Amino acid sequence: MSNQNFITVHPFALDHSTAGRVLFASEVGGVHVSRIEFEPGFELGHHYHKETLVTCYTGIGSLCVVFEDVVTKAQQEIRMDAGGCAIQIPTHVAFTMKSIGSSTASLVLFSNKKLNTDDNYIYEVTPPSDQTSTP
Amino acid sequence: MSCSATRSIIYIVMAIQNMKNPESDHIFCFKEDSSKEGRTLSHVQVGGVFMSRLVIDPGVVTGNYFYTNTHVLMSIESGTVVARFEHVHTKEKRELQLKPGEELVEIPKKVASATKNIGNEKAVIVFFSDKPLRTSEAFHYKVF
Repeated sequence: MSNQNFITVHPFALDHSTAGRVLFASEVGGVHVSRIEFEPGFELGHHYHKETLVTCYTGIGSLCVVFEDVVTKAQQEIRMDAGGCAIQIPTHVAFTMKSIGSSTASLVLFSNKKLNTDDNYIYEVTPPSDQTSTP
Repeated sequence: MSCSATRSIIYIVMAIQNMKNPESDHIFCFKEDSSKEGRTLSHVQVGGVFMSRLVIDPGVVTGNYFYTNTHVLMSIESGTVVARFEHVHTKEKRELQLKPGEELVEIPKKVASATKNIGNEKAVIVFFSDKPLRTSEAFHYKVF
């Protein structure tokens, strides 16, 4: 039994269900703290949330992130390096994140709901660099 | 969990719930503090949540502080760290060896903490708190 006035150690639950990434998740009093380890070149996302509010930043390595507002279709592409910037992902904003370094990258996340649950809505985000223009 | 710890967690949850504002800028850059040799502390505030990232050189000890009114969660992002904790009143002590992805440590107020990088490469520790770290309500207390 933990001493309520002393430290409490909350283990991370591991999710290896997707090749190329490991999701670590823990919860403290309704606050969800997660981290995702990306193998080099691994990409995740292509979904948005309707209720889950996420704030995240790169713990180690580098990630390329593309956001797209599912209503306005406005896009933003950002390179997230370790210790650079934190990003708040609003609801109804789809995203894709790709590890662009040569070693493992990690993303640290803070959210009001558990990740990878029934609040993921599939949405294909096409990075601006991959879009072809017609003459 | 104690009442004060629960209140602090509730403040963090409220801060998350209040941070929804799609119209506002949603990129927040870390501010870096390299004032102490062997460690770099970066921090950013999003809503009422303070996120910090501490990079420690091999062999360096950081911390030896306690807070009177700040609730902290910490975990390791890279490297291997030994963390020591001591309650400043009860003197209860604990030492943990922490590695990435293994645990999230909840540190209530009046528990002093210090960390030492015992690996051969830089270690990275991340913190979430309801108030900024290393402020005027951080008090020196040697545990390492």
